Amino acid sequence: MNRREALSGISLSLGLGILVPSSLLLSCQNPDYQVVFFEIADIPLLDEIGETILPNTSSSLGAKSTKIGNFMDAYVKNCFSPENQIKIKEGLATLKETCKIEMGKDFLKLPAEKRHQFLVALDGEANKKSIENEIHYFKLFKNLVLLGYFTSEEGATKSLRYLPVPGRYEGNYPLQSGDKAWAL
Amino acid sequence: MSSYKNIERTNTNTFDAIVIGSGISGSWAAKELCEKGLKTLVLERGRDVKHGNYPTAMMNPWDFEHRNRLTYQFKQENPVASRCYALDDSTKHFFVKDSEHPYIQEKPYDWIRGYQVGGKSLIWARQTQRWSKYEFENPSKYGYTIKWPIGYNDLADWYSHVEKFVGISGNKDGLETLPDSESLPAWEMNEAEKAMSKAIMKQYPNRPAVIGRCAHLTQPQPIHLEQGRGQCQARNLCYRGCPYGAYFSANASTLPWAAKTGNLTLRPDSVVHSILYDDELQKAVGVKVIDRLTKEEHYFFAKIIFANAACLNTNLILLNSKSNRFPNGLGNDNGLLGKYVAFHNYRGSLTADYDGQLDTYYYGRRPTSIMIPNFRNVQRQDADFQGGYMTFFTADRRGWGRAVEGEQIGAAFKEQLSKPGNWSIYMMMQGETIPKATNHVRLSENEVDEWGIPQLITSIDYDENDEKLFQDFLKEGEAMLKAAGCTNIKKHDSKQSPGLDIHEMGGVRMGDDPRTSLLNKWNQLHAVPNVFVTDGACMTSTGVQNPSLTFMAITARAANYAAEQVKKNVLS
Repeated sequence: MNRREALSGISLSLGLGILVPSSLLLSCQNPDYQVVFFEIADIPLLDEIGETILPNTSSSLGAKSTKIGNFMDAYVKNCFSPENQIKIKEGLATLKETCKIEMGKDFLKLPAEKRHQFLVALDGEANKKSIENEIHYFKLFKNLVLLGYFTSEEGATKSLRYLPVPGRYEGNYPLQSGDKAWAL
Repeated sequence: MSSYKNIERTNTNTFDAIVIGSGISGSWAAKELCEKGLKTLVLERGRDVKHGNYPTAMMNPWDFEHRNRLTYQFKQENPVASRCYALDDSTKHFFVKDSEHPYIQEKPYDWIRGYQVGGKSLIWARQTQRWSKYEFENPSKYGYTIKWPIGYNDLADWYSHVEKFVGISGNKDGLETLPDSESLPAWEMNEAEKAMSKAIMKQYPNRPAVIGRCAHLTQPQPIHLEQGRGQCQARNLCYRGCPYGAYFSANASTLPWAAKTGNLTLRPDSVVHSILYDDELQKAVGVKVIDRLTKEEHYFFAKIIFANAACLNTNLILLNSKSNRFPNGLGNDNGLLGKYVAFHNYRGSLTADYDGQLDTYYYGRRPTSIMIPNFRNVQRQDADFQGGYMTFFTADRRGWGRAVEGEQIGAAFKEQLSKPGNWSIYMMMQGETIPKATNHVRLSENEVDEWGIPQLITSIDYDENDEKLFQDFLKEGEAMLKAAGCTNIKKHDSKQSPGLDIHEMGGVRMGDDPRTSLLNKWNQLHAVPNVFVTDGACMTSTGVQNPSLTFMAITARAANYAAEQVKKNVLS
């Protein structure tokens, strides 16, 4: 009800300008995100896991630039089932441990190529579990990173092509090699 | 029960006509009645929503904290509403929350509702096909329902009447099974859909695949500009409400048009308790309303009453309208009120890959799909089940959720995901279900809602015929996708409960015989001719098309008849 009231209080000017929701205005006033699910110290780790999955490339910044750790934290808190909350929390502990054992160092202390190597192996393991219809914890992290990044402003407008108001539909639109996918 | 008789009739509580409900059919009744000069009161149980007051309409995906996904808590609190495909974080303010409006599911039934001015016209799927003569004639011809009291020819001019005002995009396809509308330019098929349609029609000449017809202004005409509506921008964010007024909603179109006549009074927050029947005058005289917020009782009076509360709520109001003359609900002499409720069978879908056309793409987001009109039991009974189904399909290029070649994380992975994937095909059914006395709604004898109105019990389920029709769709869908050159074809059973189709129809069906139906050919209750029912509740059978356009045409026809009868003093 509060949200509905908050939303309906915002007037809309037809087609002119982009509506800024009150939550964004608030977050501008309070730039420091309040961590609600993971440990504060885990946010940089989540950012780097995200960046390893979707790193900076020539066309667009990586997941870290979108504050993917904060997104994951809020999403897990508010949108995950209690079972998946446990799974991802335990998963993060497992990931830390496994990394130390297999790579000999904390994930954050590894150079980028070693992080990549470690997560490629973890992803392979997760894919095997998928075939057996089991959800590996790494899938939860990866799906969150993909969702959070490609629906972020950087992901949607730089890594993809974002058309808020296409204005028309064309059924036969040329596609040159290198053309990006639409964001929606 | 007779307390209303002491209430003085004033010009604030007395009108020529009362319309219960402000959605697709109610707003059409209001428009027609107001244009004919009748002082009309529209009662809406929900809050007011003014056109343009669509708070999420211009928001970007990243403006939503959870990127437009629902929270776990919302889904837990609203299991029924959350199952609706159109409900997400950007649209949830236009859907009824489960806990606020309880009902009793004797059999699992997902009742999706929109309680606000405009009703579900803000959140409908906007696909608008005319019924053909087959939908009107075949149900009684093949013996699975009573005869419709009207046919295609009774409705054709009324289809034209509403189509010109609403604005329907589509081609003139010249199909007997899908009559042409008065249409605006059609949306285009993309190249994959064109190639697939051609291949399907080559193998199945009696299965034309045509671009869908929908209530979107592809090229606004003067009548639409006069309504203040503009061209569709191909955003496909329609369920948030359209700031351009490009798709038809009561809010953007019929309600403001009715208001311009000066004859409309719109009263939001007015929960209709019952229609008042006067045993001495032998007619309905008005309605009893409970204010949504204050819970105060109000009475309003009129010469004629249109019930357009949406199918199941219209049933509920009539069942709750009890008098000495009608102890079992208004007009319910034959005991059939609330029975013969039917719906559309959406259980089946197929997904597939399409490997060609990789050098083509599309621009913009189209609000319709490809339609294949019904080809089962059309000219003759040719299947081992009754009724038919329409088929819909779309081709889209896969997005960032797909797997790609090589490593599934890292820079190369990201670069590949930034490009369109191959074509992915989605095909779905819209199947007719057979109206049966056993599929019914009735009032609870013990449970009431927050406004003291009995809760509705839904007792509606699939049957063996639905199962056979569903299996036939999966078989034929697979065959058509194969003919179209698709690979990796997979069949799906959503196992969804009835109701999630949001195409509930019947309970107050039309017919010529008062022993077997509730409404006559002008949608008047046989036993109470100044009460008209023109929403989904009036439907004798379900057809295979999306039903809203037919509700609008039936409503316009009945409203014009009603206005004439008032002018002639036949109804007074």
